[in-house]
Amino acid sequence: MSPTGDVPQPTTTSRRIFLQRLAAVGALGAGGYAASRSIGSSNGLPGSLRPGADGFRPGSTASPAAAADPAAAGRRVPGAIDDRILVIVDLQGGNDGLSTLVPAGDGRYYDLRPDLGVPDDEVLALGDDVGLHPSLSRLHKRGVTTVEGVGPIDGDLSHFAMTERWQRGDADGTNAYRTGFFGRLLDTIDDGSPLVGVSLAGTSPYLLSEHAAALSLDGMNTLDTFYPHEWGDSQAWLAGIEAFASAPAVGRSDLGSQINTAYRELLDLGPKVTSNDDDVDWDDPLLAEGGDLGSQMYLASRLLDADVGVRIIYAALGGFDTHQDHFYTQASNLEQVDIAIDGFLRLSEDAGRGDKVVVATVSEFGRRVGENGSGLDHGTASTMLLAGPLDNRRLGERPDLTNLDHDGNMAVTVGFDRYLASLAEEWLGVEAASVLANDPEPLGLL
Amino acid sequence: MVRNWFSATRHGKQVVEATALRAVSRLANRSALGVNQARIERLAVHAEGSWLDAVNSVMTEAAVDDEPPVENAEGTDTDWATPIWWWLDQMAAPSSGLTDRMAWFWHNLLTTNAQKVSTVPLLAEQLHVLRTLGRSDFRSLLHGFVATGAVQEYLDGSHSQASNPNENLGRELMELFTVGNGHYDEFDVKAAARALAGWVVADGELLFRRENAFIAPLVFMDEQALWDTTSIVDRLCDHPATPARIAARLWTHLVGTELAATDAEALGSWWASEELNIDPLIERILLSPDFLAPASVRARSGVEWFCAARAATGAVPNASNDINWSLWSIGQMPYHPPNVSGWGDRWLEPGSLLGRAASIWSILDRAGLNDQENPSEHPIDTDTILARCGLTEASATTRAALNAVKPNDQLTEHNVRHVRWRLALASPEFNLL
Repeated sequence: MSPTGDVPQPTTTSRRIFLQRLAAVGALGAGGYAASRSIGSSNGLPGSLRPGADGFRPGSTASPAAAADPAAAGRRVPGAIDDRILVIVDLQGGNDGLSTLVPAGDGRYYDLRPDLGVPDDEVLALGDDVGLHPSLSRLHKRGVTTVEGVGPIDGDLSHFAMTERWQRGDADGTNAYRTGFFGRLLDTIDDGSPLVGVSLAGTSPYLLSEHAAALSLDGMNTLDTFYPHEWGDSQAWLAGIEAFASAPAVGRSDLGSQINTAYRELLDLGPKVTSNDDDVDWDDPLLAEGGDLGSQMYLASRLLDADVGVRIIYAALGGFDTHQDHFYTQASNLEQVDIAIDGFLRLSEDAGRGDKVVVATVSEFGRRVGENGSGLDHGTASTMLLAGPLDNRRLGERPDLTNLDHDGNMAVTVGFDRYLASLAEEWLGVEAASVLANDPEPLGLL
Repeated sequence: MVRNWFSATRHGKQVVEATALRAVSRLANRSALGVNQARIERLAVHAEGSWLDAVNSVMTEAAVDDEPPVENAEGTDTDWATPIWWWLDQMAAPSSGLTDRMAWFWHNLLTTNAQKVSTVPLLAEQLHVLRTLGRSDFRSLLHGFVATGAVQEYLDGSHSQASNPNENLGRELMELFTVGNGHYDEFDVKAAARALAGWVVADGELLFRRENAFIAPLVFMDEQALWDTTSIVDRLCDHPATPARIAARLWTHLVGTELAATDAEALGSWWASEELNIDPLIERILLSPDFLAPASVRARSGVEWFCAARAATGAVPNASNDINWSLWSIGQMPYHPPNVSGWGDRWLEPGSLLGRAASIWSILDRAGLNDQENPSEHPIDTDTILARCGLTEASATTRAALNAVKPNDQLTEHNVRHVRWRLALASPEFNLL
């Protein structure tokens, strides 16, 4: 028996035969009526057709949906290195830059943060007058690049609106990109690998691409569905999926083969990265102490071990919206970040790819300089952290704490597009001007 | 090949040829979101008269116009999920037919993100507009939509003042909601921004403050007039690019293929002559020979797949609605589009199929299929399962894949039923429309 779904191309002939078959059974009167007309003729809309009494008949043969537009991708920098990997850690909620890299030598900071300031004798010095939050001890030891004063240009204080700007790489809110910033990078560096971008924190508009293959995973267990367990009904399920992956394409051939390919990739990927593998080291600090972000970074490491072509990974940790109880919440959050980034880079080094991987934080905005009791309200500029084979510079420009706006917020000194430009051009070798508006100048990471 | 998909005892005379069943199944699937076997059988009865009868029966299904709730069970009206969960129940109910098929279509075009809407009543109000005006005429629908506080907040119309107007709403009104790129310029964007200014959402209500509006002649689309929100929307609906663009979009939604530009213009100009009434456009598309063409297929979007899965398994309605959270991993939470242009059409990539596969468990749990202690009333044989899923045209491979799952020393009858249902929902056919 031949599959009934594997109809070939939408030729006029096959349509006519199909409609004649309909008419022949007599079940569909109007189908027969349609078949008696010259299907596929180019006469558009015959005037005799009464509106509503007959269907529209296109002049040209129906075509599959348009393919993605490759022009949306950016340009490579000549001579760019092709195997570098970028891992984004999104500190969701608006991370307080002033307690990430503490201006311990600035009396104004302690004037404005009498209760929530990080004591100057506890900061981990990065220079005479600044130091990292004490929770970031691993990164301090390892070495870290900091970028101060980063934020949206002429932004507002809405999480949603500013997050959306970051996601599409639109620092001043004037560019209606329909792709995500990292999605455009993916499209540019896409070499046709089965998997180029991965979100480990659910679907993220950051990774919205035109054509590059990206996958969203919710934590470590999602792929278990495609892992061949020894027990239960797993083998029966996977045998069915295997049949779907190898089946003749059903429906429209292009769509059917997309399904074949997708299932094939999941079957390949499941055993390589799932958590039900004996290789998982549950005592690794990432899993033992790293919390949610640690598990994401452990999975990130496994994905890179699988060597399927992943170049950009997105991970996220929530809880930075510290309107209340900032002091202890921030310390705990930053410790998670510290464990996760350090642990991930350690695994990368162990796997021999320490020189190829950079971790960079993003966050929609910083927090208010002045306190609101136990917390800090929404702000503007923040401090970004990068770790990996960089020069560990202090980049950006610290906002002047004596020059706050009417909300009591710092001036943004580095539009976040310059930060993104650095990640694109200096690390991944994608010309910043080809993926960002206004030709933002990279900061000099290397 | 003649194949009787329906029970001979219940519908003795309905021995319908398989390709005819494909037509009926397609009509059932595309005129609703929650499709089940009963809907297909009912349409098949009409189709025995004529295809026109079948289409007419879809067109005349009773509209469902209940107002979306704003308060959850605890009496709280601050949970955005309240109206959205209710909507998902409506969408997954086979009885809702074209009402929710069209509301869903419009939500993908006339987008709003709940995260930027200040109150749940504003969200519910917009949903009500999409559901009640979604089959009226496009002009009324667009007037109604632009007058919702939800989109005014989402696209920064709220608090926009003529002295320094926000361009967001005006731009998207032209680029996405009506004429599309190439039919306006930046001058029109600036003019529209001024003309649309004056609205403000205050205490959960959309108000017009004349003192913030621009009350003077403006040139918009080469015409000088005292433009305001109403006349701007009217002017954009009168533009020939609008019906062509919107009709082509509905064509793709219902037929699955894309119209060539000249065909879109022809359909649009006919639709304009019908005063943008939506039902005649739907009917004309459903009656097109292309609607029945074998290659007129597209991918089911996340919500389409989810609602079809709920309807097929009987996972509706439910009290706690916990299964709806799986729409995050499926990648299509209503009222949370990735951006203002909606969700796009890439639904067959590994990430999409992975999210669906992972959520099948919770759907089957809701349907009572996970409970080993209480034997499920769900069928176990392949043909009946596929019929329940509306897959009257399942391929030999899919059929064989389900049949290959048989009881053995590892698989109980419960396991067999469970795996077969999972495979049916994961099958290539169920991911297509």
